[in-house]
Amino acid sequence: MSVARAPGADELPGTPLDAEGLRARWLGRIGYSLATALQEDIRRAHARTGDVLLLLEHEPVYTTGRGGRAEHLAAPPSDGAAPVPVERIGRGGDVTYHGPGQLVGYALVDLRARGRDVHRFLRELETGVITTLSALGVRGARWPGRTGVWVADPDADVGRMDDRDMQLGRIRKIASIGIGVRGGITMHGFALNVAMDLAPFAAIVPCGLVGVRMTTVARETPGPVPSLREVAALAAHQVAAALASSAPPERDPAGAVP
Amino acid sequence: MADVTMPRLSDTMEEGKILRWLKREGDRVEAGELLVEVETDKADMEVESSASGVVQQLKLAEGETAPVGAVIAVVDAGDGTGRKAVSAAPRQAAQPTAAAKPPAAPTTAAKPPAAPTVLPPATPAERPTRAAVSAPPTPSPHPKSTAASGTSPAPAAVSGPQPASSRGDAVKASPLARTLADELGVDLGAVRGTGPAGRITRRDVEQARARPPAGGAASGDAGAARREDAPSTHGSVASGGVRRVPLSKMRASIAKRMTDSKREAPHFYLTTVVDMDDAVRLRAQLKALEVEPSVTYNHMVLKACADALARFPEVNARFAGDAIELLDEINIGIATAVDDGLLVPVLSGANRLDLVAIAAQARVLAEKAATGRFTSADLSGATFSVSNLGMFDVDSFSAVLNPPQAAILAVGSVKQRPIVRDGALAVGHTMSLTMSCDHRVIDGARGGRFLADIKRRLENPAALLLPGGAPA
Repeated sequence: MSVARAPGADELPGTPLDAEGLRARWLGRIGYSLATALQEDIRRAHARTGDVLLLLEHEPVYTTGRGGRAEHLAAPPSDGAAPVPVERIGRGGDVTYHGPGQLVGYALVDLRARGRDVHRFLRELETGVITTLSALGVRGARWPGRTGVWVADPDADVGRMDDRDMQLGRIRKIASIGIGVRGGITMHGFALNVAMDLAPFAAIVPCGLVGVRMTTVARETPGPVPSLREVAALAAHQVAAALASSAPPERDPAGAVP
Repeated sequence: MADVTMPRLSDTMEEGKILRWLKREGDRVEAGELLVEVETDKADMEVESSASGVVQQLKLAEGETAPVGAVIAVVDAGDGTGRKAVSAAPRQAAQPTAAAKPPAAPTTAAKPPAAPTVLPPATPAERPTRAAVSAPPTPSPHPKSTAASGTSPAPAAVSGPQPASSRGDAVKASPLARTLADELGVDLGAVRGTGPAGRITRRDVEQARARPPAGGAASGDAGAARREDAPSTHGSVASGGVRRVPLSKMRASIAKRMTDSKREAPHFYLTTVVDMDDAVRLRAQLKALEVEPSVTYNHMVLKACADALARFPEVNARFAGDAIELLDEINIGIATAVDDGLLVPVLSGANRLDLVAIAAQARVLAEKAATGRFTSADLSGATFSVSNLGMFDVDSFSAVLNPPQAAILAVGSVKQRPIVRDGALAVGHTMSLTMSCDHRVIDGARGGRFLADIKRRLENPAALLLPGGAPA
């Protein structure tokens, strides 16, 4: 029992993971709306909890922004299989899929203490994912202008790749990244495909038209893939390290951002 | 008057997209109150107004983009001062102090603050159209707030923060526990709290769940159903006689892919008319034999294409910059209309399937297209496509190539038309085929031979029944 009330550090759910400069917790597999509520709880209690990184995997779910066409996805199945539920989230158009075998990281971080630069924060998340991948033997890369982490064919120059390369599968997406900022605190974060069935992604990609190929750590490495829990421990470490580069309190409040 | 401008949310930000207005024209806004959500890259951020007054004009519709510094809204401070630019500010204060906050902000107080992250934003009742707000502004937002909370179904995720839910205040539970209880269909009144002062915790709810809830729906299904009830806000914005409908992801990708295709692939078109009388007869015979599933003309076209592609590997190919890639697999994309666009599910290994197997698989794909339930194999790897608009009584048309494929076949309707047979005018069933070719891969003569081969197979439809296709 803590002396301080409300969701302070010791009231955070889940198993603590080692991470410098923030509190990382492994939550195992939880439903999407529960995780959303949890994020909201922690965001509001941020003054007490400090920066938090939640690591987890979701039950299968499609999430769609306000422009998304959930009705296509939520239609009753013809073959008797359970439909994948659809959650609308208050964000821009993208529809995406989360499910078992995908490591989801929700970063509840005070952006105000980090120079308020949202793009920089996205880049730091990418760095954290890339270094995590590197420890798993996968060479992840940034693809300029396309937030997320990608894996390209060996010897490819990612900077020169275009839609066609994507369509031909020469560059594949391994992690999606996206955040929302409420009250100065970030929410959401990254979703890293570790070892999962990619089929559900196909339902949200309009045919050969978009052509984003998804991939997983398991597909990109010949060897065995550690458990999601182990990858979470790794990611806690790496993401925390990446975020530490802009962490308080050294910043000059007046702003001169590097 | 004060102009609110697109704020700079990052050093590298050049423009931002209006994700959602949190105020409407005519609403009162206080400096420091949330005005808009802005998206830049993959981040969306709440932004506060830095001016107080009545929102005179929202310059951009939701979904529109503006460069940093551009005016996005005009606020009338009612102070008679001239217009000055005020940048919208990213929300700064997590715990606003009384001093920093202007005296009264009734709208925010009445709204559950968490709503934007989970709810489809505004119900039709709450959201006036832009046309409607050019009427005299009504600065009192109170009735609207109550109307909104009365009409919008409250999803699980927001019920937590709302103080007086149907469960009442008598039960002490953490917001998380409430949410979880909602999600799992657990009645909090029947749960014993083990937290401080008998507060119900997440664990209590989880344990209570072990006892099956009475008549509770599976959590996932219930969640999905709730969302489906929610009104769609995939809205259009009317202004000056123009209704702007923001592009869905599918429309945006169709726009981009088709433009790329027309720009990069030099198209040319070959048209032929197929005498379908024998195919009509074959179909009638299969029907009389009660072959299941029933075979359509389009299935015959698919089969003919598969066999022809096996014979003409240079058509089953794609342009790859410094080479032409010939593809071993014969995978035929079937252009399929869906609500807001087009899907191209793929018949994989089509040359290895007989006619009835093609019919069966095509049917499964069509069903999946209707329900949106695809596997990755269903949508990827097409090497050739067929688009059929015969059901819309289209006689003939030309299709746009679906890159990187080198050819697509556009199929018209099968119906009785005048036809010349043995030097005499007759009436017969015909169907037009128009093949679009990527000239970088296929030349006219080669395309012509391929198209003639398809025609020959359809005019001699016994070929469609032979194992492994017809002889060359």
